[in-house]
Order: sequence, then C-alpha cells, then structure tokens
Amino acid sequence: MMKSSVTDPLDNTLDDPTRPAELVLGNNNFTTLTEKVSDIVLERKTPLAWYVAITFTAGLTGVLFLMIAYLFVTGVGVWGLNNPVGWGWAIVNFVFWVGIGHAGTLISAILFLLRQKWRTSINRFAEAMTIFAVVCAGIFPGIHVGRVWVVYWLFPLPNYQAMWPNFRSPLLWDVFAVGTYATVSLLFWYTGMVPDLATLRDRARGRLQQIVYGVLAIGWRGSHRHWHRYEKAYLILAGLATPLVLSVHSVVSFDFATSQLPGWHTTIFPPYFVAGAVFSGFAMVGTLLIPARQWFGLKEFITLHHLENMNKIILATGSMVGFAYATEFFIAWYGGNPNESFAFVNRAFGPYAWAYWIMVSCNVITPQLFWSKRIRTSIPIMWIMYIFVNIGMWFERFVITVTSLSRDFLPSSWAYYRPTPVDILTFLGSFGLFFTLVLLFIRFLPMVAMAEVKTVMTIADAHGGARRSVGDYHGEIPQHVRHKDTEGGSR
Amino acid sequence: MAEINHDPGRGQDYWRSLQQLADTDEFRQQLDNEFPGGIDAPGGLSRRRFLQIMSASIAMTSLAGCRWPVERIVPFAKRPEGYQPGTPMQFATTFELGPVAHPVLATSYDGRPIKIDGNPGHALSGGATSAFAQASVLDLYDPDRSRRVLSRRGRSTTETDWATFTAWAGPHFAGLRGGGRGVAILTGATSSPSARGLLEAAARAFPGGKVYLWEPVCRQNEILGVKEAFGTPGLPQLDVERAAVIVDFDANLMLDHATALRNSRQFAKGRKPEHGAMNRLYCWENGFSITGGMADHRFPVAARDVGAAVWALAAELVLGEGLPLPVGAGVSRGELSAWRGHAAGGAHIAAVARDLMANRGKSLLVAGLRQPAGVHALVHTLNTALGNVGQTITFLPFAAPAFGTVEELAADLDAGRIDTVVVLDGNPVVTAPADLDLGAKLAKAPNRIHLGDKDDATARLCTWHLPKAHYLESWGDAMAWDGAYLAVQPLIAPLYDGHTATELLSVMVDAEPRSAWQIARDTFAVLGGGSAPAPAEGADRAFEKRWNAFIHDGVLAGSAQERGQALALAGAAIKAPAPGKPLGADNLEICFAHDPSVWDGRFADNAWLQEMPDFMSKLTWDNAALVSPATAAALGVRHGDVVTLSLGGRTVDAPVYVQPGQARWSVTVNLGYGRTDCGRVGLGAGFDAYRLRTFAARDFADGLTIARTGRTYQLATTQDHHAIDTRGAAEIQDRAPRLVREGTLADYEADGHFVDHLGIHHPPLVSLWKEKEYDGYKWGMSVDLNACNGCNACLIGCQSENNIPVVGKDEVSRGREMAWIRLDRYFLGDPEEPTVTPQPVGCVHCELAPCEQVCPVAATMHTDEGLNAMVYNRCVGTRYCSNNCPYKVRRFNWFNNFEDLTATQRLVLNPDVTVRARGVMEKCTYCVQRIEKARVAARVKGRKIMDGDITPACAQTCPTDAIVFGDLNDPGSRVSKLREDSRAYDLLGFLNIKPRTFYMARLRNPNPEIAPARMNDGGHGGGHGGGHEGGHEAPAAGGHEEAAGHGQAAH
Repeated sequence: MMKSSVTDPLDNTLDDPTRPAELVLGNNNFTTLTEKVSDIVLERKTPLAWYVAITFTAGLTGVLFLMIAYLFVTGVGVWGLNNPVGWGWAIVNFVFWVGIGHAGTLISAILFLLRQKWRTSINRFAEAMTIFAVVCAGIFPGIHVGRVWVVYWLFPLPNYQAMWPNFRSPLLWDVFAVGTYATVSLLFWYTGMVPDLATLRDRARGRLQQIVYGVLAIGWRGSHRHWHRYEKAYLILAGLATPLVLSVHSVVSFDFATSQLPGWHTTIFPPYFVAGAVFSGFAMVGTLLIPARQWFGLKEFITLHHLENMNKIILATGSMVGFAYATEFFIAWYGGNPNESFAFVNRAFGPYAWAYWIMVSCNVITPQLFWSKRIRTSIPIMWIMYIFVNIGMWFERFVITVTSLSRDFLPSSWAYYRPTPVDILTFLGSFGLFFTLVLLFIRFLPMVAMAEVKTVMTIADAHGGARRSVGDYHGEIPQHVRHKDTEGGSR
Repeated sequence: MAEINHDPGRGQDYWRSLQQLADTDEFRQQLDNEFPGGIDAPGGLSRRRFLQIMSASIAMTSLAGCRWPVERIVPFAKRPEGYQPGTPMQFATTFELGPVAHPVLATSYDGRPIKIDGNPGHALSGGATSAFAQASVLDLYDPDRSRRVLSRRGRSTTETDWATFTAWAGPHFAGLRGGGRGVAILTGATSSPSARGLLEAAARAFPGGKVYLWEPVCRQNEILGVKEAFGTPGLPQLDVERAAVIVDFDANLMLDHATALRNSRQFAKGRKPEHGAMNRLYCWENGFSITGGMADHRFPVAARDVGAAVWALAAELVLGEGLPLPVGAGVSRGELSAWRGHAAGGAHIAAVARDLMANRGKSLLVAGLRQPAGVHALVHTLNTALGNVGQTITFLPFAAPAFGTVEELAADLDAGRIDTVVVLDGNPVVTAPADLDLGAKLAKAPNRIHLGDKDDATARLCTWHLPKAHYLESWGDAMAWDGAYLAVQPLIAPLYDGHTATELLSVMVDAEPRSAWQIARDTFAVLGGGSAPAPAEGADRAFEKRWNAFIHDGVLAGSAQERGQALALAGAAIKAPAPGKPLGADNLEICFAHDPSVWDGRFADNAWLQEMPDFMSKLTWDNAALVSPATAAALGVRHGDVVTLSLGGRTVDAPVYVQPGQARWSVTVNLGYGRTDCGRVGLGAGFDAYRLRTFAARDFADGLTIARTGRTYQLATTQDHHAIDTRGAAEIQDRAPRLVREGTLADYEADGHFVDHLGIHHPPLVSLWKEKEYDGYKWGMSVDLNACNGCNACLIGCQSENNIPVVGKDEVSRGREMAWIRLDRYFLGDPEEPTVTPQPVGCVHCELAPCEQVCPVAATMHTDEGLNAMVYNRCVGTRYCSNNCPYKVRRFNWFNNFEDLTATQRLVLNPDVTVRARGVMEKCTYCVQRIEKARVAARVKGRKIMDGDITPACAQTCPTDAIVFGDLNDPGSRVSKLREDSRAYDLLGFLNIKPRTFYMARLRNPNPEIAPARMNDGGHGGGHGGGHEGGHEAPAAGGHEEAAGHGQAAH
C-alpha cells in the first residue's frame, strides 16, 4: 500500500487513514527481533566506542563524587549560594532531573493504559532513563543540606530526639513523592523486563551470564500462570504509576508554590511543572534514542513513526509550557500585586534576562517548529531540537529558582547569584553518572521490550483483520499459530 | 605545689604571663595557704591582685587543653565575697578614643572580659556606647598583638622582657636628666590626668626634652576655635535637646562629635511630636554622614565651602535679617557683605536665616573638627549673636597643654637635638603627615622607644618595642568631655608583657618606678584635694572608701559638669576663608576623613569593625574614593574602577565608590586602611590615604586629580551587592516609601494615621483557622525610625552578645555576611541630593512565621511567648526557611566560621550563647538568653517579669532609644504603648504574617519655605473597601475575628 513517492523503506510516517502505521519494519519476525535485541547484550562484540564513551562518562562520574566529597568536607559555601539565593544549581538540577524522569513512566503507564501500542518499542529505554534520571535527581536534595550527616532526619524514623519531621513542609512531601516515584518506577521497569530477562537467560552461553540473568529472571518459565500474574501485576503497577506521573512533579512544584516568594507563589505551578516535565522527559528520551537506534541497528523497531509520535507529544506539552509562561505574566499583571508583577518584569528584563530569553527561545519557539511534518520527521533537526529543549528546561528551573530569590520583598537584600566551578562540575558530573548508567544499561540489559514488541508485530496478528489489543499475547507466539508463511518473515 | 611550674614553651602561650604570675612568691604563699587569707581579709588584697589570681587559677585549669582539671588547682573552699563562678560581673572602666573618654561597663565572665556597654551612671553614655567601644574588647584577644619586649640592634631583634628594659632605661634616662641631647616624647591625645601629669613632669625632668603631640584625627580645631572667639580655650558643651533649630556644618553631631551619644539621644528626644514641638536640622557637609541622613535639609558642598556657607549664613543673618553683631565680634558688617549670596550657602540660605531668627536662644550652630578654627570662631560668634551661648551651648574651661607639634619634632630630629625618642602608642611613621617623612628622620635619634599594641612600622624603626597593655588590662584615669573624672581599671591581668604609657613615663621620670595602679591612686589623691603619694593600701580607710567608690562607679561623683559657662567674645579678628581656584574635573577637592570602622587605622585589626558596613556606602573591609554620581560621570569613572589620586606630586591608587549625596567635585577618602604593618585581619584591606596627607593639608585640600588606571577592584558591600539596573532602581524608588514610611510633621498633625495610607491596598487579611492566642508574655519590639540615625552601635552590640562570626571580604562580597541585625538604607530622590532613612531589620518574629512551616525537620518553631525560635541542633540546613523569609534576616553558616579562631580569640565568646556549627541556620533571637535570665531573676523574686527587666543587646546600646522591647500583653509596657501609637506600622504587614517587631514612621520637619510641608497629602481619600498594609487596622483585625468565628463554628 505504500506510495511510490516514499523511497526510504524505513519511513512509516505516512499518514494513511485506512491503515495504521507499521510499528516494526524490515523483514522481521519474532526470531529476528529476539536475535537483534538480545545479541546486543549477549553476542555482539562490545564496540570500541562503548569503551571510549564509558571511560569518559565514568570519569565525569568521578568528578561528581570528588565534588561531593569536597562539599562534604568543606561546607555548602563551596557553591555560589548567598543570602537571598539559598537554593541554586543543586535544586535547579534536582528539578531538572526529576522532570526528565517523567517520560519513562508516562510512556510505560499512561500510554499503556491508553492502549497506545507504539509505546512498546521505546518504553524500556524510556523507563531506564527515568530510573537513571531519578537517581541523579535524588543526589541533589541529599547533598544540598548544610549538615548532610543528619539528612536522615527528613525521614520519619524513630530517633533519640523523639521527633517527627514537620509534615507541613513541602520538602517532606518531596521526600515521599520522589521516594514513591522512584520505587514504583523501578518496580515497573523490572517487572516489565522479567520475560526479556528470561529470554536472555535462555540464550546466554556464559555461565556467569546464565546465573545473573537467571537470578534476575526470578524463575520465569513463560507458563500461562506466569503470563497471567505478570499481566495483572503490570496493569496494577501501570495504574499505580499513572497518578504518580502527575503527582511527583506537582509535589516538587509545591516546594515553590506553597512558599510566599513572588515568582514562586503561583497556583499554576503543578500542571505547568507536569507539562514541563513530560516535555523535557521526551526530549531527553529522544536525545538518547536517536544515537542508540542508529548505533545498535534498531531502526526497524524504533521507527521514525515512534519519533514522530514523541515529537507530537513534545509539541503538545511544549505549547502547554508556553501557555503557562503567558498565563503567569497575565496573572502577574491582572493580579495587581506589585511585588509579583515586579518579579515577572524582573525575570524578563532584569539582570537575569539572558537566562529568561534562553528559556523562552528554547521552550516556546522550538516545539512550535514541530507543526511542520518535515521538521518533525527529520532526524538531525529533531535531535538538535531535543538539545534545545533540554537546555531550555534547565533554564526554566534556573529562572524560577534563582531570579525569584535574588530579588524579593526588601530591595536591601537583593543580590546576584553566580555559580562556582564546583556548582558547574557537580552538574556536569551528574550527566556523567546518568550516561554511565545509560551505557551500562544498553550493554547489559535488553534495550527494547522484546516480549511487548512481539505483540504488536503484524505476524502476531494471527487472525488477520483488526490488530489485537496490547496484552492479548505476550511473549512467544503459541505453537498453533506458527505457520510457514510467517516463519519467512515476509509481510 | 611544684606541679604548677610549666615549661613556658608548652601550654597555650596566651596564658604565659599568668603562669609567670603564678610563679611569684606571693602566689606561692597564696597557694600554700589552703584558705588564701588575702582574698578574704577585708582590704587585704586589691581587686587587681584578686583578679590576677583568679585569672591564674582559671588559667591553670585550662593549661593542658580540654581535660578538666589535669592540674592541681586551688579550690575555693571559701568563695571570695561577691564572686559566683559562672556569673558575669560588670566593672566600670573607661575606653579612650583619642582625647575623648567613653565611660563603659565591661562584663567579665569568670575572669575574662566579653562585652562592653555604656556606663549608665554617666550622662555622656546613659548606658549607650559607640561601636568602637563595644568592639574594643575584641582587640584584647587579637592574636597579632605584640607579646614581648623587643630589643632591636641593627638588623637583629631580640625578645626580652620588661625587667630587661627597665634595667636599661633607668640609668639611661637618669643620664639624660643632666642635659645634653634631649628626650622627645611623642604622644597621642589623651585625656588622662595621670598621663598628662607625667608628661609634664617628663618635660621638666629632661632639660632638652619636649613633649610633642600627634593625633591623626585631631580635635584641636574645636578647642582653638573657642580660643579664637572667646580668648580662652574651652570644650564646647552642647545641649541639643533645647535647640529647636540646629545647623550642622560638617560636624556630624551624632557620630563624630565628642558627645555624639548624648547629642543623638537629645536630638531624638527633640523629635518626638507626641511630646511637643519638633526640632529642625540643617546640614552642610561634603560626605554623607549619618547626621546628614537625619537632616531635614541637607546641602552637599565641598569641605572647603562649608566655611564659605557659614560666612554666607552670617552675612544673611546680619545684613539680610538685621541680626545685630554682638560686642566683641571678630567680623564686621563690611567684611560680611562680600559673602552675602555666596554660592556655597545655596538658594535657601535666606530661609535658614529666617528660621534661625525666629528661634533665637533656641538654636544651635556647630562646626566640625575638619573645619579650621576660624570657621569655629565665626560659628561661636553667630551662636552668641543668636543668644544661644548659655542656652544651647556652653563651654568648659580647658587648659590646653603646651605640647609641640609633629612638624616641630621632625625639625628637632633633623637638627640632631634629640637623643631618645619615646613614642607613646600610635603609629606615627604611618599616620604622620607624608611630607614630614618621619620614618627617615626617626633614625637620627640614636635611641628610639615605642610603646604600642603591634609590632608595626614605627616599632620596626625603634630600638625598643614595648607591648602596650590593653585598657581592659590597665589601671588609669581619664577626663570626660564634660569634665567628669573617670576611672580605668583592669578586668584581667595583662595577657602578654604589656604595660601602660604611665608606667613607661614613670620609669623615665620617677626615681622608683610606680605601677599604673599606684600612679592612678596618686593622681586620685591629688585631685581629691590631698597630695601624692596616695596612702598605702589599707592605711587610710576613708581614702580607700573614696577610691573604691570611684572605681566602682567608674566616675568620681560630682565631677561631671552638667553645664559649662557662657563665655564672652574676645574680639580677635576672624580670618575669612581664602577663595581658591574653582573646583572642577581638573581641580578636585580631597577630604581626609577618619573611618567609621577603623578610625585612624588603630582598629584595622578589629574584625568586627572591618566587617561593620559603613552607614551610607555599606562598604566593608575597604575604603574607597567616594565621588558623587555626577562627578563620576564627568570624570568617566565607574563604581569599582581603580584610579590614581594625585595631590601635590603624591599619588595613590584607589577604587572608586559612587556615593549618592556626595558633594560635587569633592572626593572623600577614609584614613586608616592600606596597612602593611598590621595583623592578619587588616592586611590587604583598602588603600593608604595617609600617603597623600601633608601637614598643611591635614583635613582637606584642592588640587586633586584623578586618572583612570584601567583596572577594577572588587568592593564588598552588604547592600546593593550587584550594580542595580535601571528597572531595579526604579522599583526601589517605588517600593522604598512603603517599606520605610515617612511623613512630615504637617502630615502627622493633619492625620495621625497617615502611615496606614502608605502601604499596599489589599483585601482584608483573614485566616483559615483559629490562630494561637498568646495569653502569657507576648514579646514584641518597636523600632522608631524617627530616632534611629544608623550609627551601627546595635550591630556591634548584637555581634558581641550573640557570638556572630566574621566571614571576611570574599564572603561578604558573595552576600554571606552574618549580621543578625542590619541597617537597610534606601536613597530617594535626586542622586546628587538624596534623602535617606536607615531601617534596622532583624528577625521580626512573625506570629504566622513563613519560615516555620517550610522547615522539614521542625528546627524553627514558635514558643508559647511568640518567639520564633531556632533549634540549632535540629537544623539540617535546607535553607528553605531563609528562602521563605520575606525579610531575608536568616543567616546560614556556609562554612565552619569558628574554625580559624585561635584559642585566644575564642575567649571573647559569650558563654550564654551557642556557637553555631557549620550548615546551621541562625538569626535574631530577641536575645532569648537575656529573656531567660530575667525570667530566672523574676522567679527568684516571686514576681512576673516587668517592663524593662529585659533589654536586648541592640536596644541596650542604642543611643537614641530607638529600639524598645517588651511584653505586648502588658498594657502598661512601653512597647504596648508604642504599638498603639498612630505612627506604628508593620513592615510587609500585607503578607498577613503578623510580625512582632513593628516600626514607627519617620517624621521630617521641612522648612515650608524650602520644601512642601506635606509629603503625603491625603491622596487616597476614603471609602476603599480593602485593608491597608498596617499593623493594627480595623479591617485586618475584623477579618481575623471573623475567621476565628468560623473556626469555632466548624468545631
């Protein structure tokens, strides 16, 4: 049915209302899918580039831990914070990383519940990225406190002071929100990976691999009972994770919204933060996915159609973010609170105007370009756009956190905040940690959810006609539907 | 008891002298007695001896470090009378700054002085004291003080001791008595009768000898001005309270004047419209002083034009208003006519003259110490003509000593007439006029002796350097500006081998050198009508009683003169200022000012003062060349540019600070910085303005040129950390009138509640829940902006009381200063002639504190009495509280701020206040330790805490009583009454956080001929539905009650 004008055999982005886009391209059947994905982990020689890359990122991670050690030994003063600006890059980075961690769970949970089949190719990757982003995010609130050796007082643990934490404090809500989110995301990721881990176990030749994947596969045998339990668990976790996607960044936004600082004290923050988080999360998934599919030969599974869908989500959430910026300004004017209106005028035209306009250009202009299908489906352009969105979203958190603090109610206390080299190296180090984890993931775990992708392949559609819903068949196609036509892999 | 003998090389060296003390026979005897009889025997042991022994006992317990007690100590089997371990004791003594003596009370905690307050028993203090006096306690523990007598021969320096010096000095000076080459004594100004007596004795004892006076910041002009006008030298005594119109000619009445504390208090009293009429202050000055900040009309003119302004005013009064010239006036109508309408007087001089004419006998004109004696003489003539002499100004006779000048010393050294130079205190090699080149000339005297607290530039050029005892280690006496005879007594034995100037002089002139204690007693005996020597201790009970009363009170009862005399003009002609070349970009004026932080450089090593921001510039740790915005624009220089200042061939590089309100074409440089010969604190702070200062141009001079160097320099300020953009500056102009509320007397009289109309309009403030009620004590504080002049005394008081760390220039420039109370100031109006109002801001203890609800670990909580308490050991340091504090008064310990303190420096810490750890938030506590102390005292007496029982450190030291603390639930308390005053308002009250500290609006009293009488002319009208940002308004309160009602209904 493909039109002749389409020359790229891997272009499945053509909008044809009579037929859904193919989600897996190329001459693939279940076997080739399994081989292509699991061979990256089990068979293929690790490329030299991987070693180069992990050396670099591990070095950066080392920088992160060195900076943290210096911080612990010396004090929070090694950062550029000052009296009005009590939170700087550490909190900016925290919010940034938590935001990035939104895409994975959104793809896994919400799109799962909404029966968006195209999610299957990218959800594993996105979920992994979520976990790693949350790991990076989790570091910053832990290290930014003045007395890190008593940071456990933020948890409601029995202690000699016989004191509970203060449940009125949004920082405490953060502890619970981020903690819950990290736990559920991790469980969700792992649960979804169990059938694939079993595949790896079965295909592994090395003894060590067999043991490790065997342990990780927790005895998966692919029995009907297993499938039944698995699918129930997955559904329940998806149900649990869905509200968390919305809640975690809402709670993070409460850190700001419940304070009374002009520029922070804004009721729009929860939806605005969630939209921004999804926006930045998808951009980060895209940033990583494009090289990964390129280098590891996964273009047939992670198709242009997937990327285009992601770009549409970026367009939607990016527009929400832009709308939120406009609304903030409108309310700052309409609300008639002189302190608040100054806070916003100061953002756009004060000493931090440069940061504000970086944010606006990256976050408002960039996604609007995705209205164009040509841009939306051009891999190099979209990758550049993703980078812009990542930059813009970091600056959004910087603008909110720092500009509001630097000029609040009493002009006598206004001050300018500048990061120190320690701030900068710590932030770069967190990227090192993130990419190190990503590299380890693509080397040791299945990047694509094999079991799930198989369910959306054409050949899984044994009865022809309308494709079945996700979840009808997981894992290997039962014996009775195997057919010599399907073994050849032709469509 | 041999165990107490330590190897002097071990242990901590600051106790070394005490160990030596412990080794004396006398002390051994004390130790051998289980009950040291001397201590208990009435009159058997002097307080000094007692203190020495006390200190030594404590020393011994601390010698080996932190283990308690490793040494065998002398137990107080019988506690000395009046001594309770761990209970602070106060002793009256005197802090001298140049010739001005400040009566103080020093608090001693287990033998170590920790705090200085004003002596309430003396009128010049009234319990208040200056930032200098309070910070002086830190100098006692300066780790860079010189510790040993140094003997320098050629390039070699030998550490030796006082005994070695006296062994040399006795015969040496005995040999010089016969004549030959003389002895030159270079002294700073001192009011001490003992010192003066010994100096005069020395001048007599050595035929070739002479005493020379050099005080870098000198009050001579004031005294000589009195002599020029009245023919006899005298100390002017001001009665500011009686003056309805005050004209300040560069005098900075509230800070630089000898009686600045009393002036401030009296000025504030004369500005309470509730208590009657309000005074009016005019001010002509070149730099922006705190007095200029308080002025109703301030006229910035170059320092040399201040004199011209006096002449212009005189001309206007005499020729324009027909004021008759008094008998004996040193000017004639003809001489004055040339000055009428002189530009320096400005456009409003006639209005000022009319105001003065209307207030004859109730006005006061004062000239400053930088102005030449002629200006003072004309001011006194005008005061006489206006009938003020005998009313608002009187004079105390003062016999000025016949000392030589430093210029004469330089000439005598040049001529080779001097054998021995004795420098008593001070650092003349640095501070003396640059054209004298005193350092090179000193070498012409073969023997040079320096007494000082530092091994400084002068000490290094001398053959002997003798450590000077700190005043808290010294016996002595002083004469206050009002003639009161003051005692100086030690609180601690000298930490090092320090001695007083009187002891050194005694070595020189007395056959048998006397101790400082003996010298002070001898002087006391003579001044008491007897004769020296004073009776031996205990020999004369009546004498001992008088002496004990003297040192107990710190002031000889009845010696203070409440008022001086009215003098009559003597008729000597007053010289008019010579007209100079017009000022401009190529002929700038330079004005040398003493620094409000380091004075003449003597406090360069005082970290509290170095970090104390200047009132106007908010500059810390540096001085700068202050220029007005227009001058800076004309010169093409910007804030922080390094420029080369050239004056008469001398140059120095200095950073530029653009100071609003600075006189055009006049550059102020503060003295005392750029020291290279001081301790670790002052090193590298600022530039040395002394290098431009010559004998002829000690105060100000024109002919200065400025050249850019192209370099920039980081200046650390505590406000406006970063250059403010135009939008931000506009916002400050817009916002400041709501924060610092001001009106005029006419506003106040027209509508007492004008203050409430100055805030933000907002809906009624309601609460969602029933708020806590405070039925016990309800602490609150009021800050009267009409009284506060921004003198910074509260800052140092708070720092000393609450162990507030000093963080250094780098940290200040990052915005990390730790002060719990800061003085905000906003310039309003034309940058060349702005108005300014200081606003002290500490934690306001909000009832609905935003900091408390956001702390995740509940480390900041509310007490039942409404204190916003900070639990240091619970704090994890998220800094969320600080972010949510709208006043930004919380201070975070970014590092371990006490890490670098030496063991000696730690001695100054107040044991009643926790030393905060790294990573912990801190802030003003309303001096909770004082509240608790008062509670204990009240409980012991079985009564409630009464108003006045508790005075926080800031309120205690405030010379204008601008800060009042008390119980808001007690309708009779001062703070409750102030709360009810119509001038009271809440800072940021619209946030509904219910701050306990409230402010009283400032009132200005402009001359209606010069400025509109009303600032706030009822623009709002009535009938608005919402509330105002005000402390105690009906809408807000009504909303509150309504909410409370709902809350109850819900239950």
